[in-house]
Amino acid sequence: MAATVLTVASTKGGAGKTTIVMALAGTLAAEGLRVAVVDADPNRAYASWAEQAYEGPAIAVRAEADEARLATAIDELSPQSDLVLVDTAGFGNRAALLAMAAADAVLVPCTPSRADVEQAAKTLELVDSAARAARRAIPARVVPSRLKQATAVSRHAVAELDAAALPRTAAGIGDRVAFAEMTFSGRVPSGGDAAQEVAELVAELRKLGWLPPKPKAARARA
Amino acid sequence: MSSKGLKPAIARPSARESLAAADAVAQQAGLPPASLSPRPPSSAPAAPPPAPTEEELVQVNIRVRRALGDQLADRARAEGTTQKVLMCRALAAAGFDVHPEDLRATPAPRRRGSS
Ligand SMILES: Nc1ncnc2c1ncn2[C@@H]1O[C@H](COP(=O)(O)OP(=O)(O)OP(=O)(O)O)[C@@H](O)[C@H]1O
Ligand SMILES: [Mg+2]
Repeated sequence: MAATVLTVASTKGGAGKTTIVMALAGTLAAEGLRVAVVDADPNRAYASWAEQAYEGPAIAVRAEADEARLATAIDELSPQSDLVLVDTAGFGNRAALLAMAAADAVLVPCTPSRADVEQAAKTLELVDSAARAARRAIPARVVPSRLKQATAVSRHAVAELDAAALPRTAAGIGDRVAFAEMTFSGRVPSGGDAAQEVAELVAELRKLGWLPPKPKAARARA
Repeated sequence: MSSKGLKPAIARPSARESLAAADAVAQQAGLPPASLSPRPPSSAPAAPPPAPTEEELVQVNIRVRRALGDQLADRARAEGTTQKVLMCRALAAAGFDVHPEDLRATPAPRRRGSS
């Protein structure tokens, strides 16, 4: 069966897209899923991390910032994967639009700042336009990202998302040293609060049907 | 919340379908259209694909109001990139043909003893 294609996009730079892709890809590969990541950002942040730092079960990685080659890469990786994650550039470009149009679902990371909430709304509108053009449903949700634990700013930002009626995941990703460290160590958090947050996001996405089911224990890799 | 769960994708949209959809949105958004061929169709003899050739570099200096200059500096610092890259991204988003190298921050020469 064809893989699920999950695109992570936001027109706002630095919202935490690549971090979420790193965490989701590593966590799901460790479960035993066949995970592929297509890096559609010309800066190749994910691809170079995967080459130089990542430590963990194998993840198929392609870097394609050209939208036509990106479309082909998603097609080629799909039959041999359970999940294709697409990381996009933090500025509305054609490759990001293609990644939305080709997705089964889209995650839009959003940090607690006014500019981010506005950009998240814009990104959701782009997904909507892509869905209309593609004549199929492409569900999308904001993932609150880099939340400062229990600060007024974080609560306010989440309240703003809700006030703007932007669909969001209940699970959020905190601003945590473990996520920042992952970019250097290459190791995806496997314990502690950071891992717990990723696990909650994974569980929620599974409930939505946006991720393939957890494989039988036999296939799980350490 | 309105998003529905997904039916498992039985048939994925083809590359061509996705490109057509992205193309339609790009036109609305004022971005140049996506194309299946890496080159825009043209009746002129096909130009070689824009391979990452060594292009001549030119200097572009711009003067802007202080508020924008400050924003550029802050953002570049926050994202660990350069002001040039930020400007080139914006130009790419506006439809300019930007060389991939201009979208990449050339790593600053690493000084010994600094981390
Ligand atoms: N949850 C988090 N906790 C701590 N640091 C984070 C978190 N998310 C992102 N960061 C840090 O913030 C910076 C930007 O994050 P990231 O690269 O994931 O954003 P992005 O949306 O992919 O950016 P771009 O649009 O430039 O691709 C990185 O230095 C990253 O380590
Ligand atoms: Mg990124």
